[in-house]
Amino acid sequence: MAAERVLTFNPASPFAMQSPLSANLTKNHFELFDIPITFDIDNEQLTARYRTLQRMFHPDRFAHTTPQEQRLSMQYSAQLNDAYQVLKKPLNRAEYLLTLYDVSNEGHTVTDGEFLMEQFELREQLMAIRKHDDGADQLVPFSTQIQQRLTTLMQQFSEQMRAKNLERAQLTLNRMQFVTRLLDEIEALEEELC
Amino acid sequence: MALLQISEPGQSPDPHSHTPSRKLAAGIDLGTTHSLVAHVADGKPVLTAGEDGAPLLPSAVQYCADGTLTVGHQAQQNAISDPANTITSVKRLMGKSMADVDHSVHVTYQLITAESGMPLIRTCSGDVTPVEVSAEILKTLKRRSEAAQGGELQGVVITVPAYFDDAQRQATKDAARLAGLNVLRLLNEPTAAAVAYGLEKGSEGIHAIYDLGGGTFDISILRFSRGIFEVIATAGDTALGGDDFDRLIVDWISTQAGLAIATPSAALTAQLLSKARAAKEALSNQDAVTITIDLSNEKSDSTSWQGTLQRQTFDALIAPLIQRTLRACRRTLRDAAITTADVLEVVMVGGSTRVPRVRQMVGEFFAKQPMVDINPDQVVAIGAAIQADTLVGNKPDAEILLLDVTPLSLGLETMGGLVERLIPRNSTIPASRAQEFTTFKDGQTAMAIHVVQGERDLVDDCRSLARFELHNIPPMVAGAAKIRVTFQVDADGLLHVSAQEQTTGAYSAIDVKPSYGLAEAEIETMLRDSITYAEEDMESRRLKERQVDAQRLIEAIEAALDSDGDALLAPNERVVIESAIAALKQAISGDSHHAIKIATDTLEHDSADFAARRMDASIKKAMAGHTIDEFSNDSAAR
Repeated sequence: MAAERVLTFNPASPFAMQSPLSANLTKNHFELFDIPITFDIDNEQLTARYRTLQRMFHPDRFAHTTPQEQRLSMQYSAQLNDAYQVLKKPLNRAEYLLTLYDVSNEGHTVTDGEFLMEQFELREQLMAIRKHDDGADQLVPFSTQIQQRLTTLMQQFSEQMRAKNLERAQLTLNRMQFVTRLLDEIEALEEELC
Repeated sequence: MALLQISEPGQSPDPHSHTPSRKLAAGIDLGTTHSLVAHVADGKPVLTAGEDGAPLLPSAVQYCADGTLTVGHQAQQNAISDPANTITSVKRLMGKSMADVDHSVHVTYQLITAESGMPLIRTCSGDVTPVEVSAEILKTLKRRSEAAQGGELQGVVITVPAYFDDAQRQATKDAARLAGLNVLRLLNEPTAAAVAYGLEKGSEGIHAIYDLGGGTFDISILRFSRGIFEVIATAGDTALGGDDFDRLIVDWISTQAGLAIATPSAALTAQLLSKARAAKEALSNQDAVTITIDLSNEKSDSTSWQGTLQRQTFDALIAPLIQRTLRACRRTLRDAAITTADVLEVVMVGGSTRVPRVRQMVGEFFAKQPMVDINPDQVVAIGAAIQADTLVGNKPDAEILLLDVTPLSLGLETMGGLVERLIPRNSTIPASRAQEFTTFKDGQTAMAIHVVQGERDLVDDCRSLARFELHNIPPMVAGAAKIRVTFQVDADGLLHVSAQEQTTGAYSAIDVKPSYGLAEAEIETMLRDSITYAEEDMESRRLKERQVDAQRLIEAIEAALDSDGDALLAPNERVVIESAIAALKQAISGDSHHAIKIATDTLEHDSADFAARRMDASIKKAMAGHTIDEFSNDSAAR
C-alpha cells in the first residue's frame, strides 16, 4: 500500500479563490436549461437544450484551449450532466423540486398508515410470485399494475404542485418513492426468474 | 471503410507542405497484443505502417543486457529465444497491485513485488514497471507517426478499454507522459470504434459495440442521434481476451501431451503460447489444425509432440469465456433499459472477434448478424485518429460530439466499512457530485477519506483508489464542522477529489493518484532516467516544453482579448492581463524554464476571471439564442 497522502486545508491555496462561473454555479437545475420551474416539464425541450449546450461547452470543444478554459468547461459540462439526470427522471425531479421549496423530507412517512398497509400487501404478493412455479408469467401483469400506480401518483403530485399544496405533494412523493422501490424489486425478480 | 490508406514512413509528402495552421495529432490504440497509430490526412484517417510495412505493432518489448531494447515484431520473435527479458501483454499489469495480478496467467518473465505493492518486471537491464514498458511502445508509435507526418505531434488520443478503472487509466496517462506525449483525451475503445463506424455509415439509432481484444473485453451500448454519440451503458472485463483463448489451448496441449504444466520452462511456455496463438488463428479459416511441439530441450521422454485440434474442440474450450462476455452484455442492456430488439446493429471490434464461435454466439444473443465491415484490429485506432484531429483544433466546427460514461461507481468509505456511492456507474462524464460530512469528536481537526471504486456495498469488496487525510479542520464541537467533499470525473474518466470546510471556506484538492500508481516523484525520476531523454539535455528539453506551452497560452489569451477584451474587461483589468503577457513574452526569450513557469502561472492567475466571464458570456448568448431559433438544430429534426 502506498503511503497515505496528507492534505492540508489552506485558505491561501490558489484553489480557494476559484470563483469561475459564479453566475451559473448558483443557478438551479431548471434555470440552467432556462425551462419553467415545474414538475410538468417538456422532456423534448429539456433534451434539446441539454444537447445544444453540451455540443457547445463539452470539454472536447476546449481540448486545445487554455487550462483555465478546460477546467471551466469541465465544471459546466458536469453541472449540465448532473442537472439533466435529475430533471429527466420524474422521481428525481419531484425530489429536487421540493428541495427548492425547502420542504423537509422527514417525519411524514410514519403517519401514512393506510398506504403502508397497502405496500405491505403488495410486497407479500411479490413474495408469493417468487415462490410460484409460473412466477415469471404472473410478474408481467403485476408489474404493469404497479407501473400504473406510479403513473397515478405522478399525476397527483403534478396537480398538488400546481395547487401549491406542498404538504400533500410531499406525502405523494413519499408514496412515489415506495412504489419506485417496489418496481426495482420487481425488476430484480424478473432477472432472477429469467 | 473503402479506401483506407496506409502511409509508409518517409513516404509522406513534403513535411513542410502542409498548411501552417494544421496541427499534427494522432490516435493511438495501445493494445494488449498489438498497438497502432493513425492520423487524419486530407480529411481521411490513415494508419501508419512500421518499417516492415505493416500497421500492427506487436506490444512486445525486449530488454537487452547492454541497455538497449527492441520493440515490436523483432521483440515478439525474440520472445521464444529470450522469454525472460521480453515483455508481452503488459497492458494486463497496468494500474494493478501484485495482489491483483492473476497468477494463473502464464507469463514468461519474472514478476517481483515492489515496496509499494506494485508489480515490477525483472529484466537483465534492471527492474521496470509496466508503465515504463508501455511508454516504450508509445515512444515507438510516436516516432512512427512523426516520421510519417513530418513534424512533432501536438497531441494524441490514446484509447483504453471502457471498463478500465481509475488506476488503469492513470497508469496509461503516466506512460504517455513518460513517452513525451501530450494526451488530448483518453478515449474508450468501443466509443472510438463507434466513431469510425458512425462517420462511415451515418446510421442513427442504438448500436452495441462488442469489443474483444487480446486481453480485455468491453461491451458498450451507444445511441447515435443527430451528431451526438451518447454512451448509455457499458460493462466489461479487463482481464478477458484472446490471450485467454491461447492459454486454454496451451492447457489442452499440455494435457494431451502429458506435460507437467506445474513448472514449464520459460522457453517451453513461450513456445506453447506461440503455437497456441497460431492454432487459434488457423482455426478461424479451417476445421482442424495440426500442432507440433518441439520438446528436444525439455526433460521429456520424446523429442516432440504432435496432435490435432478440431475446431469443435476449440469451440467447446472457449464457450465458457464467451458466455462470460454475454453475461456482461445482458447486464449492459439492463442498465441501458433496453432489449436486444432495440439494438439496430452489433459492431464487432478487436482481433478476437475473428473467432467464428464468438461471432456465432454474439449473433445468436443479439439475434442479428454482427457487423465486421472495418478490420476489427484497426477500427479503434481509426476512431481515435478522427477524434484527435478534432480535439487538437483542426475542426472547429466539428459536427460530432461524444458523450461517454464512467464504467464503475465511485464512492467513499463510511462507518462500518460501507460504501457511500457518490457517482453511480454509467453516469455521463464529466460528472460531479458533492456530499457533506462532519466531525464526530469535539475539537477534531483531521479526517481520513478513503476513495473506492466498484459496485459492491462493502469497502473490502471494492477497489481501493486512494486514501488521504484532511488536516487543519478548524476545531469545533462534534458535528459542527461541515466538510463538503466533491468528486469530479473529468472527460478522461479520471477522478479528482476536493474538500472544503464550509464554515471557514478552507479548501483542499487532490488529483486522485491511485494507491497502486506511480507517485509524482517516481515519474519525475523515470523521466530523467529514460533512455530517449538521456540523449538530450533534460534542462533544454524542459525549457523547450515550457516555451511551447507558454506560447500556446499567449496565443489563446491574445485571441480572447481581441474578441472579448473590450466588452468584458475594464481598462485597468485589461492592463493587468496585458502586462502579464508582456512579462511572459520576456521570460520566453530568456533561458530559464523556471522563470517561464512563474510567468505562466501569473498569467493564468491574472486571466482566470476573464476566462470565467467569457464562459459566462457565451453561455448567456447560447441561452438567449434558443428563444429566437428554439435550438433549431436539435428540435427541428423531430
